[in-house]
Amino acid sequence: MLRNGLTLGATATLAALMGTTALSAQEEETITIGGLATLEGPFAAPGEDGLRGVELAIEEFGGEIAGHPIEMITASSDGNPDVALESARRLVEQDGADIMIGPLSGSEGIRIAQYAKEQPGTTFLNGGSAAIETTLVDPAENFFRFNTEGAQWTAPLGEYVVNERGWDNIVIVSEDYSFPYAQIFGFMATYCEAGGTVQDKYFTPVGNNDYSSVIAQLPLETGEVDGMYVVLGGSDAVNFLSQYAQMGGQLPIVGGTNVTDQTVLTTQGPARELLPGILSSGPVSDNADLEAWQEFVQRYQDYFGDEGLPSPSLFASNYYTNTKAALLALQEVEGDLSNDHEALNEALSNLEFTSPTGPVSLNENRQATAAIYINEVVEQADGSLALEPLERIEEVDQYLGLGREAYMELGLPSRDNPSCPS
Amino acid sequence: MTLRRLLTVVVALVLLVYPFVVNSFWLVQIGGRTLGFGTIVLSLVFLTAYTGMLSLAQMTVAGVAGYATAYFTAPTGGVGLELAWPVALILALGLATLAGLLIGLVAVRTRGIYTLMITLAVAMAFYYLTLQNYAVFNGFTGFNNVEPPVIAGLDLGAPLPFYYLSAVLAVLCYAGVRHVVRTPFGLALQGLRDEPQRLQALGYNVPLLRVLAFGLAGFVAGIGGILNLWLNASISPGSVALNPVIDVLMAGVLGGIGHPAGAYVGAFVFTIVDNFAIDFIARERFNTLIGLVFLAIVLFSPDGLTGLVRRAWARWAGTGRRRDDAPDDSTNIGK
Amino acid sequence: MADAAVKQEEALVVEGLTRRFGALVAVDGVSLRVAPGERRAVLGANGAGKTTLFNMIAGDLPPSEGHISLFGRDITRLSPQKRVLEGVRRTYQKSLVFGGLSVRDNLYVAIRGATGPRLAIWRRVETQPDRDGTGPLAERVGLADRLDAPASELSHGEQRQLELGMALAHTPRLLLLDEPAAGLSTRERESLMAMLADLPRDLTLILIEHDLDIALKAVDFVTVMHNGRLLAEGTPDEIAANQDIQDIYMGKHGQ
Ligand SMILES: Nc1ncnc2c1ncn2[C@@H]1O[C@H](COP(=O)(O)OP(=O)(O)OP(=O)(O)O)[C@@H](O)[C@H]1O
Ligand SMILES: [Mg+2]
Repeated sequence: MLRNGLTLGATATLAALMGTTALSAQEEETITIGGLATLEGPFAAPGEDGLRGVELAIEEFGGEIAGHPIEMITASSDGNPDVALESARRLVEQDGADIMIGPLSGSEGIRIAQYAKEQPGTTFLNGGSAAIETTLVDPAENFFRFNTEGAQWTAPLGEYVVNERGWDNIVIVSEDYSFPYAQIFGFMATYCEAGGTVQDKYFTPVGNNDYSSVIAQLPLETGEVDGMYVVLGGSDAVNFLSQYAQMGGQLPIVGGTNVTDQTVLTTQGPARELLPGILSSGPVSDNADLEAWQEFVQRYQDYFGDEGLPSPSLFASNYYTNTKAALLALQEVEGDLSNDHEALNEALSNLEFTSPTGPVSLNENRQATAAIYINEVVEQADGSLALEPLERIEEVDQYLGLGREAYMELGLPSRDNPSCPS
Repeated sequence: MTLRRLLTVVVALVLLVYPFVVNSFWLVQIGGRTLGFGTIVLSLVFLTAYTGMLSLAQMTVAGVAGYATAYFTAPTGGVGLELAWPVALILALGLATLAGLLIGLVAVRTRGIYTLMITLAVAMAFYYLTLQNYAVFNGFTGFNNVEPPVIAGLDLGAPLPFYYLSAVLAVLCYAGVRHVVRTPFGLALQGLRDEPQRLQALGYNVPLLRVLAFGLAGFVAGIGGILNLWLNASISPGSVALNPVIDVLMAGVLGGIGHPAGAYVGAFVFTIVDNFAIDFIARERFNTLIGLVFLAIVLFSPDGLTGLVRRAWARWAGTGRRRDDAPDDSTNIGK
Repeated sequence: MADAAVKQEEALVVEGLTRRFGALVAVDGVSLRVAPGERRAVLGANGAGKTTLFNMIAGDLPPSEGHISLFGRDITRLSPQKRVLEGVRRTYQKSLVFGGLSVRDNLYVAIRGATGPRLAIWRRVETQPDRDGTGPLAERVGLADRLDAPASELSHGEQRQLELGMALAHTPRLLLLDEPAAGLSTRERESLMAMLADLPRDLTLILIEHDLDIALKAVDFVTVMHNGRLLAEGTPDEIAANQDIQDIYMGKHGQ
């Protein structure tokens, strides 16, 4: 806080002395940050937590940058890209947001990044969305993503199971939409490269209840197949694991990021017995004693108390990280938004800082490079399940360590891409 | 009559001057959306007001046109086939009309709530198709970056040209509907709305008329669908999911499904509420609010806001000469 | 219409016509011969099957068994629309008019239906040449001064007149009137009778009527149905003299 005060004083003095850039310096215009998240529909809870991250970051800077008061406004989506676009237009074109933070889900992100091109006078930072395409396919100059995406989260695990577990043939069970495709994509990119093969992929609709037809085709124990990569979230994961356990399935399991989130780890049914030992990967780990994360959790709990979740979600962390990046860059340029945010965007492109999940920087597509954990589900002393870090891989970049050229050759994720059949 | 002419002039003036008094948000997101979305609603109002049939598949038909336009003008990830835009648009409207005809075929033997249910089933089937089909619909992702054409240096995607394009098409659709209902075909449709049995006994092929009405509604919805596509610059399964499908009915009922003007009134009010309700009410309660407004309209003015205005007008002007309000169209709904 | 070849045919021949609704036989093996230009009444108690017979002749209901031919042509399998083009017109027991349209438009829909093309969408009705036909038609049924009124605002009697007007559009050959006088005042009945008397002589007319007086005054020949079967046929005088029929008609033997 002291530093902020100093900066404020210094700016004012400087401006007064120079007497230039009259308008912005004298009036110290309010800078408006628009937060866009899913406040309706199935992702309402994560959406709310995301906006808590925005609020927390603004609060951390005392609600002003270089004398410019920071105002936060919000708009809602329901996960539908059309609705997200409508809300973004409202924030930018009607309410005059200078900086946009959001959205939450993958396909919304692709849409908003496209919209960013229409609005060069606004700076867009991602919220929680993690689709690959957003910053890969024809990326917008003024769209920045300081969080890692779905493929980055899973890439280290692919290599890991080949090299550390000696697997070379697996089956994949996944929900049938873009986020799981991205997760499979990241996993297989390094897995196939390391020599692994995929015998089969099984896709099921989101919200499926009955997995018996899939399970009937799955091996129950190791043999030709070494293990299974499961990319299901929430109740889908619980239902699948329960039914697989009831059928006596014993194949070793590695999972997508959502397979081991809190909703699954706190389940009590038959799925519970399969959970310990499952490997997954992602930007956070419960038991990593990362100072930045603990600090963030503390700050979150102090500020929100009972109003927030017991512990911040990944979405709160991602929204927070992106907002904080915006504020740091604003601070660096002393709130200068002239000339279509030229200085701010430049500062953002070169920004490096420590996010709750560790150091983060951007590549030429303005996509984050950051650390990823490989986690194992372990039983704690109190009987609860938690993610124990096996390894922390620093600086996982957008190209998953394959280099730009090799990566671009893989194409875009889909049901069938990539494939490395046995 | 003179009042109607006055109203026409006022509406034309408002449409013309509107861009010069509002910012780009009001121009595109409120204005453009009202006109494009309103045209989709118009296709529903046309069906209900003049044929007595309800449909929940109008957003779906609009989606067919939208997807077709995207497929033929903005191929993505190996999905699509780039064609010259006039060809693409003709194809898109043709496909929307065809989709309308097919939905009509499916719905032709049903009435009222059953038509609603069967068209809803079609709408949901289409939604899942777009979600799960990759070869044509590009699955969950759909098509992004679908820009309207640039004609002779005029970028139809820029806010002002897009607004006027929407306005011209909306006016044409509205005028088209008003025209068609005064042709022999249109009279026959109103006949089948009132007494299908009588119409059959007069020598008309009632099922054929019903199917054709759906086809025409499909054409109109297709135009709205293309505008909607360009407004969003993209289309994905979310564009044809349950929410937008229901929104069309909501906007229709809000504005009044007894008169084509109700389509645009409803679309306007719906768009405003959709964009600004969050300022007055917590987002979680938004749908409750919409539901309550809907309920209030259905209870207190079954012919929607236009009906309310018409009745108020009739009361105000009607003292003296007996200008009984137009027959209560709402009683024909679902016949 | 009055050409000799047609004259030799019967206008309508119905043979062994049967219609079942589940176990109920609404019309049971009815055979009729109606000469061109004949005025025929069909009498019978409630539920005798009169309307069902009309429905089959007009094509609204397919028969379970039997044949119908019109001026020598078998129309049993013809769609209702095609029968209209063959000259079959009908009215309904309960008035079916297009309430949302004006009287003129109601009549115009009827004219287009009988002449086609029915699906024209380019020219507005106001500019269609055959629209002039609505005036004389309205005049024939006494609605000339009500042309612009919405049909829903007509009185019951006027709606019956409008129905008749619609049925008369474009030279019908066989007119089926289902209880045209039902619910009319005495005065309205009289003008209806006058209208019927004014119909062209070559028009074949079949009339269902509960009011024996009207029926017997307006027709040349009477068919009596009972429980779906043909009970008796004869001239009005014969029927009036038949005590059995009188009893049934007064409901003494009714089901
Ligand atoms: N669509 C139908 N489905 C089932 N039963 C029917 C149907 N139409 C008529 N009926 C039955 O067939 C019988 C004959 O009916 P119809 O209407 O032909 O009698 P009607 O002679 O016209 O009588 P009314 O004088 O009451 O008009 C009645 O018992 C009637 O209930
Ligand atoms: Mg009857």
